[in-house]
Amino acid sequence: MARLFLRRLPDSLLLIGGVLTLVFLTMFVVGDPARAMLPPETPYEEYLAFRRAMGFDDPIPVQYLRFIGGVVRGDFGQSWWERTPALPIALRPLPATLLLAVFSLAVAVSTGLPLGVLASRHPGSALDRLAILISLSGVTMPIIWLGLIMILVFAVGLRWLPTSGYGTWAHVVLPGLTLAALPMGRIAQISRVSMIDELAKQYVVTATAKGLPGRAVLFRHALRNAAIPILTVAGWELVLMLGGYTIVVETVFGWPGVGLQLFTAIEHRDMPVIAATVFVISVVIVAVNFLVDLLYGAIDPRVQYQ
Amino acid sequence: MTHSDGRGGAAPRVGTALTGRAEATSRDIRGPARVRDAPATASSWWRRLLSLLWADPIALSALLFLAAVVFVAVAAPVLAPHDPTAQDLLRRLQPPVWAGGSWTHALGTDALGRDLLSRMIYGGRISLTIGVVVVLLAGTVGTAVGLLVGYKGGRLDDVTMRLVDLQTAFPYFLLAVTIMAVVGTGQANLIIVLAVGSWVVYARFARATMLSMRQSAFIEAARAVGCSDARIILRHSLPNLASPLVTWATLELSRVILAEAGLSFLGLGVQPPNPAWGLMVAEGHSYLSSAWWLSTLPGLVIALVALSINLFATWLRAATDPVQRSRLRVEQVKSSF
Repeated sequence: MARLFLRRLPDSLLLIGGVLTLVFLTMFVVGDPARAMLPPETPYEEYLAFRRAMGFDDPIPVQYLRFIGGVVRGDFGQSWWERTPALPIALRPLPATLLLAVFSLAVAVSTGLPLGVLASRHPGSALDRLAILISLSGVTMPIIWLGLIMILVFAVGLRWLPTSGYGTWAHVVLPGLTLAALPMGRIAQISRVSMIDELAKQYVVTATAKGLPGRAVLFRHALRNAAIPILTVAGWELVLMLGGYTIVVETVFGWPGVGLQLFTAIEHRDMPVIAATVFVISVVIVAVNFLVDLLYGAIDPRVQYQ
Repeated sequence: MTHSDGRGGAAPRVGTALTGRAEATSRDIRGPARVRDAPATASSWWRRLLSLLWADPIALSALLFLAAVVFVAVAAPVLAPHDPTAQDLLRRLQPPVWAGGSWTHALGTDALGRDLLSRMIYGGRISLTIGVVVVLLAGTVGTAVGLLVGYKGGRLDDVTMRLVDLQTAFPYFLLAVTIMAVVGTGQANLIIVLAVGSWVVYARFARATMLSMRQSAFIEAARAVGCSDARIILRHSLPNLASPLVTWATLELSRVILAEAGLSFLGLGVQPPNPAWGLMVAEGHSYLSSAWWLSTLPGLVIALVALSINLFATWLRAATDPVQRSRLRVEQVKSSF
């Protein structure tokens, strides 16, 4: 595990470094932080003085080193809005987002995987076509729209669940299901395709011929071999949730997670918090990728890390 | 498809007798799997595609729906009953006609009294234009880069692919949100940001195909008769990519439209008072319990457009890619298992 960690380290640092560099470039080179921080009616002389005081007129490489130096020390500067350090603000909503994402992934795997496996047993059948349609709908459904329909039906219409907020299990259901639709579709698609590939292989014929019950062939033999691509997709979907879908879903449902935090920071033009949030999300993504790599080894003994 | 069979409207091959011969050779050398399916002329290729489409009601209805949406978007000034930005505060939040509204505003009005139907019609114009422009931009740049680095190889290839890998390892939506927040909204920015997120798809695919073609006999022959690199890339390699590229571009179109809707929903895409579908969903969000149609109808259109594009693209891939077609046959064999 330590070896795997060391092996992944350069790539992970490169990824986080690349993301931070891009964030730096947009904020300090393309954007004008002084202009963004000051009220628009500030006189030009004051604006220039402020720029100099904040170091925004230093050469770009100097500013870049200062920025990266701060990041290494965990210092993204003060939030322009809350006037407290930015990193704690970015970390605060992380548990809520992780809870939401893990819940959604659990829903997506526990529905998408059986759907795909069932469909793979009889390709071309009515069940298979239904599964294809369900998974395609999941993949193409705009999250914003699905969220609103969920609210409209289950919160406004039936009054079963709260429209938005955080605190009880009832609150997690609607955003969780909304977020789960897309990964459910992708997992169903990939498990269907990889199971179809596996079921056509010789060892499956052998296992069936020697009299193993169908269930054992399906789950103990074929599914285990099809697990690697399914795991890859599930891990990537978790990454996509953390780095994208949650922003939309949390905004729709008022879920106090990283995505809503980012949305609020953007509304306030709070650059340090935006940078810190993007950084926190990239670290979580690197961690997810590492976990997926560990799971590869656990599922498939052929995967060796040297 | 192989470049011997029809890609409708392909430029006639003008060249020296030698290049002509080189290409004839390449035709013979291309794998038998592809040649087997290839009919003789362009028109018969299109006819076969049409008959395949006719046989697939789902793909056909998806295409018809898309054609209708495109037509409505193009003819928006003629079809829209009202000015999409004209406000009428006396007639705000009117319900659609089936929920007690009037035919003057068939789908009702929004909180500023703007006609929802007209806004959806004009919204299609904006959303589709952005989608198509992004796909063309990203597709051209991505394919060009992919073909070039795939053909040249070496250091350039290594560096570019490292960049591409880096970009694909990170969810782009997060970066798009951040960049749009900093550089400011505006349609040009929106298009560039979306295109930056999408070019890697084409670059990857074009490079992979180029790598597999680089060693093949028809490229070698072209090089032997003295074709320039540009000619080899554009006239000899690109046509072999055309058909799968169209499929990729179609799928990307749905992704881009969804991403634009997401960004506009967050207030980082198309700006009011312009109508774009994603923005309209956001504007209606706060009226969900009192005027449900404001958000759900534009959202439904996004969903249907994305679904139709995907259904059509899936069919297109199966219909134009010989490998997929044989796979379909294999699956039918498997179903008896």
